[in-house]
Amino acid sequence: MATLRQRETLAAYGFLAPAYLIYLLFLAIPMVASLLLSVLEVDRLTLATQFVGWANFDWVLTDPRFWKTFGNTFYFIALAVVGNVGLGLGLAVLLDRNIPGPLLYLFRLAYFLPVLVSLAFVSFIWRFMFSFDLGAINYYIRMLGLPPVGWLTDKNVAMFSIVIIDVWKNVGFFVIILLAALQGVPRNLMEAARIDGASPFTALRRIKLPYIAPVILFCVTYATIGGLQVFDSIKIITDGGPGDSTRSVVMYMFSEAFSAGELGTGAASALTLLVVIAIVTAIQLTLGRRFAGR
Amino acid sequence: MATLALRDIRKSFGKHEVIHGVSLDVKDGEFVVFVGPSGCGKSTMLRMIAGLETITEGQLLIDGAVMNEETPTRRGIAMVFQSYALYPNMTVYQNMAFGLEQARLPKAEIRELVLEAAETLKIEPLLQRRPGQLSGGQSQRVAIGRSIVRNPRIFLFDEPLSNLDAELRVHMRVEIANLHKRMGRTTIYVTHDQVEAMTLADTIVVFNEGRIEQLGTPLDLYNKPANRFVAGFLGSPRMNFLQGRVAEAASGPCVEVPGGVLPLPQPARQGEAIEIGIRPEHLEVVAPEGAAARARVQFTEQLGGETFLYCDVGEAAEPARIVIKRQGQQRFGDNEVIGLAIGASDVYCFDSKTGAALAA
Repeated sequence: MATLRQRETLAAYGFLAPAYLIYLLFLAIPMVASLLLSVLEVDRLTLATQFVGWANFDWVLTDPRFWKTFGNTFYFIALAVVGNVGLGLGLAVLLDRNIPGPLLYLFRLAYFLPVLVSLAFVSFIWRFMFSFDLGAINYYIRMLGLPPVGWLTDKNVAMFSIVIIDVWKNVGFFVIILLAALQGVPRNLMEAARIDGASPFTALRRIKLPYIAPVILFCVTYATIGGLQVFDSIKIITDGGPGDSTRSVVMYMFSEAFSAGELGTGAASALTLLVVIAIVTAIQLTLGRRFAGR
Repeated sequence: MATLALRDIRKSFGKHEVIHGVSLDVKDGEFVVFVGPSGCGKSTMLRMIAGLETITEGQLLIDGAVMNEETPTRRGIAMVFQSYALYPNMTVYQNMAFGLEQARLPKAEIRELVLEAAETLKIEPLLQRRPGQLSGGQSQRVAIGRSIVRNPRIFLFDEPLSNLDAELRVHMRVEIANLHKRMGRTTIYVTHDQVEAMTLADTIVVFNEGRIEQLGTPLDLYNKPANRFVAGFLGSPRMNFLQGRVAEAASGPCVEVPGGVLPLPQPARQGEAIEIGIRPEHLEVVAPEGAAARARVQFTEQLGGETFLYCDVGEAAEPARIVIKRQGQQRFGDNEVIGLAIGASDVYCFDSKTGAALAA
């Protein structure tokens, strides 16, 4: 007969087992597989494998196309972080006041709704909106007597279009988080600022924003990591075009692994991306801690 | 100089009126303490004076000028909050300088003023620290520093000591008293702690349910409470209240209460029902034989320097509870019967319906 403690331990593992199983199946095994694949060459037809050492990484890191998609991704991140966090903060500041309860609820719902909609669905709608000849946006631009814009066909504009979709879809998430942070600033602090004679703008700049700096930092980090993984929307809307002007690192990875069938180089590029995410996050956290100073 | 006048001030939140017409005159340099139980409106009143709450009706005058619509800065007030409300992202120096920066004073002057205030409060070693690195007492000192540096006409304190431990509270209380003596500024101080009220105030204003119950010097309020509420609010342990009926004895007017008969300070109508109040320190313990009133000791609290006796008086089935405060260490057995004696002038009489003090 097992002791009570042993039985309790067994029960605990029993309850944890389903979660662990899912974790193993969908996270741990693929992670280990990617690690292995990155140092192997897999024959597409026979699935025969051969150890190649760093060769896959060599191939990826010397491929100009990888670096092009790498640059595209960071360009996207720069725009998307500024758009999402900047606009999110602006909207949160506008909502952070004595708005009647139901109205505030409505605003929050309105901003958050796009977050809940499937990105694939959103992308199809926007592809139509951005269409050169039939799109709704160019329809209104023509009505104003202006020349239509090649939202998805002009290589200088296409990335902006992708960012617009990203911001439209995600800004609500950042509004909710930043609004909660702003509302968490102690009322007494703002009252002390009023007594000190600070204007609402000064109080926002000197007291509120520094107070929520850790949350802003979280948003920037979150948006950056999301940006590094951008894939679905671009895949559906431009498929990386025109040319390679909107192709992201994840798309490169996808095409290497599944279109070209080079599982080894695909895995190598995925691991490279992982390392980059880790480095970028570490830098942001270090800078943020110093900046927030608390 | 700065005088403050409140003229029939009312405050409503929505349809719910919480301050029902408060009028008050505060002289230049006076230290006024607002006391009252939670929710009595004392903090709301202070926040209206500060300009943090709008005034629904009535007038607020500072030095004779109507200030209802002016900003806190224009009113010339400074406020110390219960939670200190220091800006966590700024150093102590920056916290103190912030208000002066908003007034666009030159940097050199700001520096001079901050250092001067820091010296007054002995917080110079803390100037480069952030609020997160300060203890409660230090934070409150900085909060006071931030308010004096702006040289306001009126100081407002909103329960500034209630987050501090007992020892520090006594210490800071003395410091606030000294600061007021040195600066001589008009001060409004909100507290629910009657010891703070009694020790700091020139004038105490007792609030209850959005109205002023009574105002006066601490000892005036203690000795001549206008009603049962004020009598019960000031004094610790609180005043004992007993229902009684006026009678007449050979020695003069007296009142029959549970447990016996007590003398009355003034004649009253025979047979009238009144409520009497007795401060715990005014009751004498005498031998039960022949005493005019008796009580049964339920338990005693020994505080070292003094002893509190919790006694039942009257019918054993429905006793009334009273507290007696004696100096020194006095021992009584549980259920011991003791005799009570009190001077007629120490018996307070209140109307049993309205609670108003009956004139002596």
